[in-house]
Amino acid sequence: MQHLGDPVDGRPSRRERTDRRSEGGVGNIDANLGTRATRTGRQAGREGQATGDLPLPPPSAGALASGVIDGMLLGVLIWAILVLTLLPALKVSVAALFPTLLACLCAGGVVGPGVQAALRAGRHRRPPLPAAVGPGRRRVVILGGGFGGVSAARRFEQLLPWTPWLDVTLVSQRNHLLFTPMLAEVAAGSVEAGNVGVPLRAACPRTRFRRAEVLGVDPDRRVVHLRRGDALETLPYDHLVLALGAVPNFRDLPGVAANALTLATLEDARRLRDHVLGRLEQADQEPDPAERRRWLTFVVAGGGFAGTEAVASLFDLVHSVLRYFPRVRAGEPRFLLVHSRERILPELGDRLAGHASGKLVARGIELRLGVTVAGADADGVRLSDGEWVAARTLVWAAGTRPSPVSLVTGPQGSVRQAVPGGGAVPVDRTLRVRGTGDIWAVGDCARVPDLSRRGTTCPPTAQHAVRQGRAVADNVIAAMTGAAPEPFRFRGLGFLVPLGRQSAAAELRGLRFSGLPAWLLWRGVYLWKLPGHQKRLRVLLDWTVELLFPRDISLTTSERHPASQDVE
Amino acid sequence: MSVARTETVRGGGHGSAARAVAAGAPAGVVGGLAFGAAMAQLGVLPTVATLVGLGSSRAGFAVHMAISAVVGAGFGLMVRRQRCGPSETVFLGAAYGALWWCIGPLTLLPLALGQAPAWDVAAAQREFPGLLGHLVFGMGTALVFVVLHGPGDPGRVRRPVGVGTLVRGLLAGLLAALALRAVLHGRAPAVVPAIAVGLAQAALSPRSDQGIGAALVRGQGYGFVAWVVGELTVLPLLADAGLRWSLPEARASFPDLPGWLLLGALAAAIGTVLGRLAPLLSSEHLRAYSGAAAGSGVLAAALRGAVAGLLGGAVISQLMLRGAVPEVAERLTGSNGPLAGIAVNLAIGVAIGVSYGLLFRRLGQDVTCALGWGLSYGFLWWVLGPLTLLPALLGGDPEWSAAAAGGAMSALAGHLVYGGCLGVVFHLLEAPFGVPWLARTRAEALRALRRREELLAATPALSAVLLAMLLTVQVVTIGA
Repeated sequence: MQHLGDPVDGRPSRRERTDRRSEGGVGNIDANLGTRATRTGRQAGREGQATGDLPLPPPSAGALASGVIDGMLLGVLIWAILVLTLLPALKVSVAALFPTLLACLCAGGVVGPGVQAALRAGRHRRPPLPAAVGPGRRRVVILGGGFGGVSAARRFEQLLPWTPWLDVTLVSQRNHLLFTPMLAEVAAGSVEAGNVGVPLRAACPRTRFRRAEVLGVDPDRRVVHLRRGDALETLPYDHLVLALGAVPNFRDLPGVAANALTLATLEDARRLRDHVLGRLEQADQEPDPAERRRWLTFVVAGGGFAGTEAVASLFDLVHSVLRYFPRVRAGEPRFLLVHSRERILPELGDRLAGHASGKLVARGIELRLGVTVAGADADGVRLSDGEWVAARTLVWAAGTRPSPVSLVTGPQGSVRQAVPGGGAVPVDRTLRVRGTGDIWAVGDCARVPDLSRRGTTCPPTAQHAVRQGRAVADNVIAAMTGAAPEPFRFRGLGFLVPLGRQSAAAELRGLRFSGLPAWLLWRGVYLWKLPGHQKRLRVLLDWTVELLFPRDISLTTSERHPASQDVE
Repeated sequence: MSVARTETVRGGGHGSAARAVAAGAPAGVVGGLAFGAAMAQLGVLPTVATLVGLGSSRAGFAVHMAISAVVGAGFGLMVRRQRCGPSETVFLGAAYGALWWCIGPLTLLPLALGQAPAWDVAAAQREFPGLLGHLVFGMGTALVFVVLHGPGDPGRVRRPVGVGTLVRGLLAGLLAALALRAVLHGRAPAVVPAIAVGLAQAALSPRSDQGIGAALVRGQGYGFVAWVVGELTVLPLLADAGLRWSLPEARASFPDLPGWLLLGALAAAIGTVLGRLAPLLSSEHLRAYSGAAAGSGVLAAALRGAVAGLLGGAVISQLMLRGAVPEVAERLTGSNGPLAGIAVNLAIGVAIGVSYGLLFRRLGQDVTCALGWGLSYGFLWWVLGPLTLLPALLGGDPEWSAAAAGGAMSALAGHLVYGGCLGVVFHLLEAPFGVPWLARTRAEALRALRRREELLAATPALSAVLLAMLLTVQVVTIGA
């Protein structure tokens, strides 16, 4: 609902412009309510009734009673201090200080109104933040509601009491921050999908939020082009923060984009879970052995963190619910992890990566190392060494690419790419996009120089994105206030990767360990990092329920049976 | 369907002096009638008549009524722009009455009789019946003023007090009485008077959205009013025993006062909690429910409270090192070393600070408000702490006698200083993140400013009853 004075596309409403002209400047609600009360009273009353509020009465000229009372209370405090200091010093009784109490009360009552007026005098000179962006307000727009964008927004909010002239808007297609470290848990049915999505409006309550698709940025006009449904809009900015993240990169492999499932969003996780459970349903009723093998073969492409977590989680999901599918034998489901290098988890050290590999193999997960996925169709996956794997499930975790950012001069204008080929946006040490003065970039969409390791760039991890978000907020404010932005420095804390039920591998600043302690550490750390007490409580409850009860096998998305009959 | 209806006030001229005097004077007359009747029973009217050189009771009554009308008009002028509810206005009346007791019998009357102001304890204790009379006068004047003039915001439509609100008050009083009687047994007030207190709170303060902290302070005030009006005035009159306004009778009734204070605070808190549960059970309430969820901001408030409590405890520890704050640590730990005392003070300070943070978050709109909340909370903890919990922790019964309270005056001062520090420091920690300066839309800023204006008006009124309580406790307990 449009509120009085709410801007549309960053422009003040006609009433707001009229009011500001009559006020002679930025809106001062206190000072102007008296004259505007009747004129806006009906409007505000309608608004108030719609929102449950009542019109604000004119400010009082000074309530004498409250001033006297406040003064007398101050007198009580002074008397109490005198009692505590004079009593032991003068060795007198409390009775002797009774006249002091009366004197303090009387003195306080006399000077109270004056003291109160002096304390509250500043209140009327400090206008509350008006709705519309007016003269003196600086606008920051953050594109992207992931770790980097939300971290920047929250840092801006922390600094808001000292920067009341700042107006921050966060633009994202999703209205929630996706806590990606727990996405595999959602796919495995350990955690409810909604519990790993933190609403952006709740995570950043002092930040304006726009749910829209980013079409491009015009740095000359300093506007962002957005699409909201069918409507095209522009959003002006003084400083822009790009935090658009990354998208899956299928590398134009034949059939992969059409047949692979990804694990990048909540919808992906729900779909993957239902897909796997649906395959078990199919297999349980399939008489043909070859077909059964296809239904029960699961291929995961990519042996990095995402792929390893995905294959381990799916393995746990399938084997924890097999009891419900009596015709599927325990040894029938087949899991393959395909990785281009000679060992999985290249970020970990050899020993830990070797341990992780051994753990997966011991569980029954097959590793195909030194090969890649060359293509896929509905019935199987072709590997680069020529092997054909009959499978009806391919999960793609073999790489991402930065979300494309284009700089346009207008919807019909020529397109100028920020980076030829649409790669990551190059930034300097202070996270400012090279060649610009007011555009910054963080997270997976940026190429941030890693000052702790010369010649390299920061890895695209959540821990880096969070810290970059905080740093960019400080640097934007520094740039706005004429101070020098600080270079971004962060040395990663380490890695934690779950390997399935009650097992994980951890490397923290050179300290390596695995097994149950690492798994407990993984759960503890990410539970703590999950934004919001409510979400933490919900995830904790999910994990507790998982300990006591079997996983739910209800299919939440509808899937047409390939045969004509419907599944009862 | 409403059972009780308060005045609906609209239109201009609400804050005019003439209207305030026109309502305040008759209100003062009504209050004066009650006080005058009491004065007649106590036989002090001839003393009042000496102000005009006469000595009869009739002359004294006439002088008293004239003074009452003038003082009532003054009350109207003082509170005409005070945007607060009926209960806050009654508390302002109590403080006003106490103030006039200091000004009248203790100051102006002796001066009029050619004597020095009688500010010593002995004179105050001689005039103790007058203190109670002034409290009754003040509260009666305020109540009638509310009816004639109307409290609160001009242009604001008062919602009628519904059956649900009164049922909530009844339940709150009943539950509070049962809880206190379970813990304190015979020391707690009886169930029927407790229900009356709950109903009075619901009728005079139907809106419970200011928070549990404000409810505790308000309830404490109601408890005090119940002791003065009920225990010392109405109940003895109903029993044909006459007013219990003399100092010895008040001292004899003093052990009931802490029970009334705790009952009032607990009933108000329970009423607020029941009021917050209503939206969870009723779809009607959900449409109007716009409060913050109970869980949001809790951790930050608790941490700020802990820091504020730590600083308050440090201040008290400093004073304790001077021998000012007696022997809490010694009684609790058996050690009389300074370190044990400091540790105990800090630990208790932090714990109470956390509770303050959780109960009073977002209530301190400026330093003076915060000071009022802190002092009131400190007073409540003086009743809860040295008089109730400390003896209980040491295996005894609560020490609620006038003599015990008189011996804990230093502790009272200590709790007031601690409470003041707590309130002010918590406000300073919370203020930078307060809503009015971080609103995103005009509607949000208006709502926040409205709440701020209401709290700025209500807080001094709620804290005002502390002045009356402090004077009463001092006069009754010193020398007991």
